[in-house]
Formats: sequence, structure tokens, C-alpha cells
Amino acid sequence: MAETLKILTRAVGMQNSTAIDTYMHGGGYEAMMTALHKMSPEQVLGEVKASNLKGRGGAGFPAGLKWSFLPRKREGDKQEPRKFLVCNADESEPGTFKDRLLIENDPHQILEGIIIAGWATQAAGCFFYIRGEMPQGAKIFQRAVDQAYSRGFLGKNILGSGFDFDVWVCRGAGAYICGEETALMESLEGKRGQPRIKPPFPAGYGVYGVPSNINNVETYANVPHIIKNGAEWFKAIGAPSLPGPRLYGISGHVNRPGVYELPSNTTLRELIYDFAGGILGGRPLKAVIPGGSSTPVLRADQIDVTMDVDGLKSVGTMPGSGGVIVMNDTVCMVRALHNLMEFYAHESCGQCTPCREGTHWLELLIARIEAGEGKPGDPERIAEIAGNIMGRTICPLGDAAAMPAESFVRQFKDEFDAHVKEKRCPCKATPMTSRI
Amino acid sequence: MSATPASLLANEEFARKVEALAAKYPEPRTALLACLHLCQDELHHVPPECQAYIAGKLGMTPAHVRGVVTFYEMYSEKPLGKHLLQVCKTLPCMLAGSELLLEHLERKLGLKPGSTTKDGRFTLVTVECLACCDGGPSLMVNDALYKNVSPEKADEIIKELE
Ligand SMILES: Cc1cc2nc3c(=O)[nH]c(=O)nc-3n(C[C@H](O)[C@H](O)[C@H](O)COP(=O)(O)O)c2cc1C
Ligand code: SF4
Ligand code: FES
Repeated sequence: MAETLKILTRAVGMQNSTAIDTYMHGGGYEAMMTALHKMSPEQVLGEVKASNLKGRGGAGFPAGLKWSFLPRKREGDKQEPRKFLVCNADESEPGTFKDRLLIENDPHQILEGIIIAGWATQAAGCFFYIRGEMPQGAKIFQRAVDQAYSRGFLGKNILGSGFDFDVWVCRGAGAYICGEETALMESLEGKRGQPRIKPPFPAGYGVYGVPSNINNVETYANVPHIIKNGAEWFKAIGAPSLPGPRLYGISGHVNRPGVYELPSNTTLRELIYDFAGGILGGRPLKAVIPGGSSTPVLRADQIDVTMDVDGLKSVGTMPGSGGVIVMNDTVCMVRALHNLMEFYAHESCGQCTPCREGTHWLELLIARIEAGEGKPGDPERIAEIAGNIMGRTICPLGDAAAMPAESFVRQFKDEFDAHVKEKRCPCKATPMTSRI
Repeated sequence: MSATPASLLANEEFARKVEALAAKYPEPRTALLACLHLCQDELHHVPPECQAYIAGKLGMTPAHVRGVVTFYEMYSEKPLGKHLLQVCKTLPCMLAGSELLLEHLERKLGLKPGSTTKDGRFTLVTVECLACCDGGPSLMVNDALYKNVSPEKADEIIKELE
């Protein structure tokens, strides 16, 4: 069996792993020094672009390309245009718990990536927006920021380079939607977290209306390694459609749930059976959600695919946030989908009618089927409502709710039909496997 | 003795903390969520007089602040119990048995989710995914996160709370 990688997760389990001295002892902040002293912002940007690092927050947009959208000083300008970075540490997508691991075990790795990104884009500073339910993580990260200031790695004229850069830690307050980039920026401005209509995109109009770049925690954490080892090294890891190390968080009915750092050419089967120790209770596998609750669900016979963009696309789904949710044969798929729809209906910010109403209808409709009160045509109605949400909303939360709804019904149509026909849940006979 | 809205607003340390937060970010408005957390932590809710106070400090209207308080799950306009028990109920935790944990806590405390014991000691709520799905069922008690919480483990956790 292949081994897990030890790049992003090198410090996990190490003593005092969050201390700046521990980090520096292992070569930490050397990449930042190389960038600031030996590389121009353009060279750093070029290296990250060449690495084809893709965003790890869910959408997979190439990071270097996104950085290059930020405006830079033109000939004759005295100063760089004011702009900000944002680090998205809102981690709230059901099934996703990899950023927490990085924040709590190795905050300096993230911070170093942020400072290098700041240099590449010549930004004024970075807002680190961490979800409100991670108070310990916020403390750990704030302490890392304070240590970096005390070493002269943040603040004015960092290490004599003439570059000024600040980091501000901000806590959210319990709203999944604030993980969406523009909702997050509204939240940073002390407002309700309601997504903005795009365009304008954050690169033109971000925090305080100033050009801004937002990336996920894991995306920034990759940056020091790219600068240290080069784009070619990075591209040699995993499949070409998703290069570099990737954190897969696996939960649900497996024997060893947890975060596994793997190349993206690992198959879902290897992750589930080799790394995560197979199915809880030794039972048959029934379904897998491969990349956070918003990604289309797979059946047990579709797991012989690699977990990169191309591999997952071949079975109609996507890598998303790397959160793999495994279900054995004791799970009722109607009940599982109902649980997810409760989530989306609750988290819809309410601005768009298709999302606000659609998620609520889906929740009610699925509850009805689950209760054995479904009417003929109800399963088809789920697909229809989902189709009417897709692509018709301000932000992707609408799509994020529609994709599981559509895919659960498509992949497990028999089970939805059986609920309607038998007017009861045919799965109730087997109690669901539990861990406690 | 625990703070009241009046005692909190008369407390110089609270005023200093709010002012420090207002000065921490490039613009004071970014401090709003942090100021509301301060108040929620002290009083277990954010009453109108505190909303107005914070609004004044950050140059906002009280109506704006109220809009924010009501949007975010972690702020409450009604007082919550001294100890907040949050049971994660999203799919990965459900697969791990969160329904058993919730039923147990409901029975033990005599509470439905969203309510508070008469003596004001405990509030029980359900929450969405807490980003620790490998440790389901997960339970947050005030600021502390617990993993793999069986009913027996929940009993022990509650026993430790003063
Ligand atoms: C409803 C919703 C919730 C999101 N939640 C998160 C989140 O918790 N963390 C995250 O990094 N990205 C989240 N995203 C994606 C962000 O909008 C954005 O694409 C990401 O932060 C960009 O970073 P990346 O390019 O490095 O992935 C969410 C998107 C939506 C629509
Ligand atoms: S899609 Fe939903 S969450 Fe997104 S802006 Fe519209 S209503 Fe709000
Ligand atoms: S579902 Fe409970 S922590 Fe993620």
C-alpha cells in the first residue's frame, strides 16, 4: 500500500508544532526569505502559476491566475494600488475538516504562504476569516501572527525588503454562507453575510470595495512548498488535473476516519479501503459523497476512479473540498438527503427566490417521502425543483443544494420510488450503524 | 456574580476592549462581529442596550447592528443558559450516531433543542457541521469541542461543569 504524504501535514502530532521556533527549526520561513530577498513579485507569481496550484476551497480555480487579476502599479505610479488578501478559514461545508487540522497544528505554514502571496501581489495585508465555532483555532492563529510580528516577518519593512504587510484575525459567527467569498467580505465589513452580485469580482471590488484576492487555508499552505521546491516538483505529485498534495478528510462509515494527505491519483477505493480501513461493521458500501456535501453522490460501483478533476468528472462528480462522506448499507438515502436539505434550507441567505423557496420545498418534499406520505411523481419533482434552482441564483449555494438533490434521486431512484410505493421507509428494518 | 447589561456597560474594562477592537482593523466596522462576541460571551446574549452601545462605538446605527445580530447563529437576543450545549446534527455526525446523543441529552436535561433549563444552567441546541466530522458525534460545550461523544461521555462532561 502507498504511504500518505508528509508535506502539508508534516507537523501534525509533533510537539509544540504551533510554535514559531519549531516551525523554523524544520526550515519554516525559508521560502518567505527566498521570495522577499531573491525573487521579484513577478517571479513568485510566475512560479505559482506554473505549478498549476488549484484552489482547495471547493471550486478549484487556479491560484496563480487569480492572483494575477489583482491590479499592480503601472509605470509612473508612485505607489501600489491598495489591495487586500483574504484567507478563507470559514470551513463549514459538511464533511470538510482539513483546514481545522492545518490551523490547529501548523498555523505558521499557512501564514508563510499568506506572506508570500502578499509579496507576489504587493497587497497591504490579509484578513484571516475563521469560523466562529473555532475559538481555539482563532487563538492559535492569533498567537502565530503575534510571533511573526515579533520576528519582523509582519509589519513595516519586513526583513529590510521595504515590503509592509499586516494580518488581521477575524472571527465569523455561525453562518455557512459566509464561506462564500463575497458574503465573507460583507461579513468583514460588519454586515449580514449576504453574497454580492458578480461582476464585479473581488479582484476589482473586494473588502471595503478595494481589489481583493481570496484563497482557502490549504491553498495558501501549499505556497511555501512551491517556492521552496519549485513548480516542477509540485506538478510531479498527483494527476495533472489536480497537482500537488491534497488533504482528503474521510468521515462516516469507515473504520479509520480522519484526514489523509495523498496525491490526487489515489483512487477513492484506495482511500476508503486501504487508508481508512474499510467499511464500519464490515458491511457493504452503499454510497460516497466525494468532495463535501455539495458534490454529486456516487454509488458503490463507481469508486474505482482517481480523486483528481478528470477522474471524478468521469463519474459525474468533482473533487470539491476533499471531504469524503462514506455510507454503508444501513443508511436510508432519503433520510440522508433530507438531512442535507435541512442544512441548505437553513443556511440559504434568502436573497434569491429559487434558493430560498427551492431549498425549503426540497426539504419538505423529501421529508414527506421519508415519512411514507410521498405521492407518485415526487421523486421526479425533486429533480425538477433542483433543475429550477441550478444556475439561477446570485451565489453557488443554490447549485450546492441542487447537486446533491438531483444526484441522490438519479443514483438511488429505486429507493425513492420504493418509499413512495410502499408508503413507508423500506430501510427502517436495519438500524443505522452508529459509532457510539 | 454574573454580569448584567447595566454592569457590563458600566465596566471600564469592557469599554477598553471594545475600543481596542475598533482600533485593531483597518476600519472600525470590521470589529463589529468581535464586539458582539465579547458581549455574547459575558451576558450569554446581546440585549438592545448593548447593541446600541456597540453601534455608537463603531459609528453604526442600532438598526444595522440588530440586523447583524439576528443574521448570525452565534448571537442571541434572548439570554441563553450558563452552559451552551451544541450537538452537531449534520450528515457525517448523523452517520456516527448524533441522534442517539441528542435524544439522550433531551431526556437528561428535559429540554427540546433551542430551549433552556428553568434554573438557567443549560441551553441545548443543534448545530450544523462543526468541521470535525471524523470525530462524530461531536458536541461543543461553550468553547470546548468534544469528539466521539457517547451518552456516557456526555454525562461525564456535564458532571464536570460547575
Ligand atoms: C455557500 C458556499 C460556502 C463556501 N464555503 C467555503 C469555506 O468554508 N471555505 C472555503 O475555503 N471556501 C468556501 N467556499 C468557496 C469560496 O467562495 C471561494 O471559492 C474560495 O474561498 C476560494 O479559495 P480557493 O480558490 O483557494 O479555493 C464556499 C462557497 C460557497 C458558495
Ligand atoms: S443562492 Fe441562496 S445563499 Fe446564495 S445569494 Fe441566493 S439566496 Fe443567498
Ligand atoms: S457533521 Fe458534525 S462535525 Fe461535521
